[in-house]
Order: sequence, then structure tokens, then C-alpha cells
Amino acid sequence: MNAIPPGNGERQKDFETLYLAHSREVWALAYARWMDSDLALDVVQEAFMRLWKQWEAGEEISNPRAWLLRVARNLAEDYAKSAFRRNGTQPPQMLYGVQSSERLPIDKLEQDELFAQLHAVMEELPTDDRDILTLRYALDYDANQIAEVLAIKVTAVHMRLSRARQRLAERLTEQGMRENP
Amino acid sequence: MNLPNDSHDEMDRILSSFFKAQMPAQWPDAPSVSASRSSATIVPATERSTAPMFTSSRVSLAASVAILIGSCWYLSQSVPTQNGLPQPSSLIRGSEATLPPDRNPMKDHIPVLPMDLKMLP
Repeated sequence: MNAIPPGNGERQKDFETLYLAHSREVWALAYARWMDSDLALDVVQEAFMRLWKQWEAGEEISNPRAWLLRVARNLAEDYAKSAFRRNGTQPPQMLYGVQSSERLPIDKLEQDELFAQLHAVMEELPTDDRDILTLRYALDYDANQIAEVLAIKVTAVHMRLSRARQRLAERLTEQGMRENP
Repeated sequence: MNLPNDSHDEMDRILSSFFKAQMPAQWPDAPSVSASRSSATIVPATERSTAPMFTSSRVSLAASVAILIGSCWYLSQSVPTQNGLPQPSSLIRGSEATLPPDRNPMKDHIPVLPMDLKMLP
């Protein structure tokens, strides 16, 4: 799928096909950067809108997938520099602790507690670790697919994934999760 | 909260459920591009790069200015003049403010030079 498709209808169709194929990858990379699902969705929408505008402007994009992933990373980085990020209402970890007044079942509470802990620990991991973990567990990507998205070798994926899991386990243990006897 | 022994599988399960929970339950549709698509239909790609910047708003502005200037010129040409002074229009003829001659303080006023000035060479 290259450059500008010939017709408007075809362009729209290609656009939607691209969205279906790669929007989750874009989301995963943006989510891995900020650990914020809503923000990642905003990045997805913005990245695809920019792709459409590029097409409309007659710009040739030889590899839309790579282009989208690069734009998503840039958008996530831009967000880091934005005034909203610096002076925003509350950091995500604060908002994450806000609990609903609704009474929840015990297992749901336990899961929420576990997820909150995971979320906090994940934020301390390097972005590279979060990239791999998000692609692996959110999208169920195998090593080959992850290597393709991150433009690294498959062996590097295995190594990074192993290290990321190791670091995560260590942090979780430090945070209070203990091994079963 | 426990992390089980030999936790590879358990870790996989926890991480998988965590990340799945972070993803939107219903994936949103592709962003709507219908508005920009219609504009793309109107302006073909081949013409877009060379198209002048005369958008409709600019054309409207230029037309308004031209009409304004033309109206001013037309009105200035159509006002009758007499002795170099513009004549009042027929609608307000006779309505100009004047003083009766006998009450005009400037009527018989003849300026008189001061004596000192008369003595000057």
C-alpha cells in the first residue's frame, strides 16, 4: 500500500484497513510510554488523522506502518513536553488510586490492587521494557512480530523480554509481593 | 497478595490479564475523515499544489473592498458642486443651519489694526 491510492473511495478503504491492522500497535507503543490507555487512544486518533492529511496533501508514504509508529512515538514524546503534562491536574498514579464509591466484590478488589501495583511498578521500568511487555501481553505478539514492530532482531526480543520480566518480578517482590512458601 | 513459585506461567497470566484490562473494551472506529474527504473531492490532487490561495473568504473580502471603493467613487462623482462647494442633497435642502443677517455678529465686523502696528515702517 503505497503513497496515495488512486481514488477517494479506495483511499478511504485503505485508511480503514490500515487502522484495523495497526491501530492496536500504535496504541501499544503510546500506552507503553505513558501507561495511560485514554492518552494512548488519543495518540492513535491523532496519528491516523495525520496520516490521512499527509495523503490528502499528496505526500508519499512508502511504509505507512513504520510512519504511524514513528508518529505515535513522537506524539507521545511531545506530550511529555506539553504544558498539560508538566502542569496537569494530577499525575496518573494519583488518579489511579481514586476509588469508586461502588462496593466491589473481594476478588475484584484484589485484582484492582494487583493491577494498581503492577501499574506502579511498570511505570518504573524502562520504556524499552514496557514496549516489549505491552506488545507481548496486550497484543499477544510473538517474538517475530515484536521484532518487526520494534525493528530489532528476534534474539534481541527474547533477551529483552526475559530481562523485562525479570526486572518486573524483582520490583514486584520489592514492592511487597512475596513468593509462595 | 502472592506471586506463586515457578511463576512464569502465572506471571504470563497476570500480565496478560493486566494488559488486556488496560485496552479499551470496545475498540473505537477509525477517525472520521468524511469532512476532509469531501474537500479532497472538490480540489483534485493535480490542481491542489498549484491552486492559488483565493479561498472563498478571500474572494468575498476582495469583492467587498471593491464594492466599497466603487461606491465611494460613484458618490463623490454624483454630488453636484457649485463654486467648488458641494451642494446639499435634495433631501436636506434648506435644512442647513444659518443665522439671519441681522443677527450675524460677523456681518459688519471690520478688523482694525492696533495703533502700534500702524506706526511701524
